[in-house]
Amino acid sequence: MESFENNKVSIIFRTLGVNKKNIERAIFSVFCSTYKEKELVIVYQGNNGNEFESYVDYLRTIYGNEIDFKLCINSNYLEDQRAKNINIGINNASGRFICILDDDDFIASKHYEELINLIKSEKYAWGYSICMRNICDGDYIIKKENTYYFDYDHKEFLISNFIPIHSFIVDRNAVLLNPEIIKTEESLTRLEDYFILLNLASKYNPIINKKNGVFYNFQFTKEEDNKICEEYIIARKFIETLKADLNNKIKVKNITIPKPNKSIFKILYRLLIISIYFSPFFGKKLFPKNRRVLKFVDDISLSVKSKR
Amino acid sequence: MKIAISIVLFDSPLDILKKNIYMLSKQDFLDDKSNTIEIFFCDNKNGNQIKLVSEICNNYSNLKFQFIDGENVGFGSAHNKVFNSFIDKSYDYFLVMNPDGISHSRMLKNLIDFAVKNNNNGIFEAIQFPEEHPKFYDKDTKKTQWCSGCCCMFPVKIFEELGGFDENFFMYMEDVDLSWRARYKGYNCYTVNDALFFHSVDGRLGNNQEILMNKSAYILATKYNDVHFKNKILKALSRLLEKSELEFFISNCIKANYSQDYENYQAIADFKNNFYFSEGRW
Repeated sequence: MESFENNKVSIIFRTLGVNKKNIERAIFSVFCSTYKEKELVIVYQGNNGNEFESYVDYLRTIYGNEIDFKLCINSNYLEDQRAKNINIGINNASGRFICILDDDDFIASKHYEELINLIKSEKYAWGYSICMRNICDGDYIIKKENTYYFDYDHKEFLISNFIPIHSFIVDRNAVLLNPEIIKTEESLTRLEDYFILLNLASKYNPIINKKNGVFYNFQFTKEEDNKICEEYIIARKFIETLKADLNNKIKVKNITIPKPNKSIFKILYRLLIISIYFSPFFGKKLFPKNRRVLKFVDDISLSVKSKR
Repeated sequence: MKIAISIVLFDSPLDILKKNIYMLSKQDFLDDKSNTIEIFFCDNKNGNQIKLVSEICNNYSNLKFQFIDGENVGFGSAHNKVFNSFIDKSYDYFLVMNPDGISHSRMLKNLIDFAVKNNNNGIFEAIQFPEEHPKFYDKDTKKTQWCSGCCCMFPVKIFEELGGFDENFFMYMEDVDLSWRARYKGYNCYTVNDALFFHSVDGRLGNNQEILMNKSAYILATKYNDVHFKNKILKALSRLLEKSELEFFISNCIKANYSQDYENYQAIADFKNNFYFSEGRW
């Protein structure tokens, strides 16, 4: 496969075309992004392809000067093909950098610019930005939670996914030898992004942008129905098999290992924080639960229940 | 319908301004050909950016533009200057807007539709996006304690009746003061949460901004006679300013006479929640 000469970011944007308000909010956030070269690969799944095409033409008239639009239509409206839709998007993307944005989420204006600059300057294959979790009731944000990440921990990541789908970016030039690594397993109807991330993480360590990130909108009132719970169970089983497979075969490596940049003071400071964290009294007072590492997709249903 | 938008410039980020002018030209409010948008740029740095901004504006024939220059009189005073010099009863709304924000294409229509639905009986802020201001607004009625001047629309009659912004404030909190005065007169403050205004906030205040913010807070506390908050701000100012600077500020900061009974504002003025001036949502 030839390398990408451009610096374009291709944003895979899956949608069923139902909530136009959310779609426009998400695209508006892409428009406001400070990164110049942006391609929005919209993958529409549904049976109103012509109507949706007209809607995309309307979006082009508004945002077309800033964003290149591509529309792919998956007219199979009977099955949930969210995983396949990612692969359709990737197949049609022309950018060197690949990321995903769901139609109900949005990004901070510097997310693409800062993360791509980091990936390029530090020569990483992929990276992710920090995430702000909005607890919502419809459009109304009830609460904001700063998700707090310690440095990337591969063991932690193997337990569950704490990297939201729209927070990571992959440099396709860094995975040229194995371009399929950014595609997902099409039979999955849940955790399809975790599949990609596990594959990536099994080969390359990520870099983290801790300054500006993405917004994950979590509906407080949303209840996962039985079908979705079953889908999660099936997906988790599949993912467990993948994890076992990856653990046996592959060892994680960096493209380049960055030089250690920690002074003795930083290390001592960290040790102090860790000791406070694990102390029985101060740990609970200073680090309440919501400041700890948040697991995202895996724990959605659990956290809804616990909030109640 | 006719709307006047006032934008104050002071070494403003041109890339964002360019996007905003573009988005203002794409407003679906303009689908009705009888509607007009007139944008007034008031350059507070003696017209430093007017040439560059007017070049950008030349590309948009569906918008009208006016340019005003002058010395740095502050945020509220500059908007007042625009209002007093140019705005007459032929305009329906006066909208003040930050130069470092971008309007969503449906923003104006959503603001105006909401204002009309509420009989224009108030002042109407667009919601900041993607990081919303944490102050509380009612989920159903959209009523809030005060409207941010980041992007706020006033029916012309109301702005005129209120006498515009208090020019004692140089920057920050003039919007809180104007909102409280509006509420005292019986108008409501609304957060129109489907009118999106992109505003990038990195959350870190520079030293100069911190000083300006505390100076404004001091004026606000003095005006509404909240001794506890005033003392708190004085402590912060004494940390930020030299003693002589502080003394000079205190003796010169308030030119107007606040002798009128601002004590009646006790039920409106909220100093309990520090710089939020309102209960927070989080």
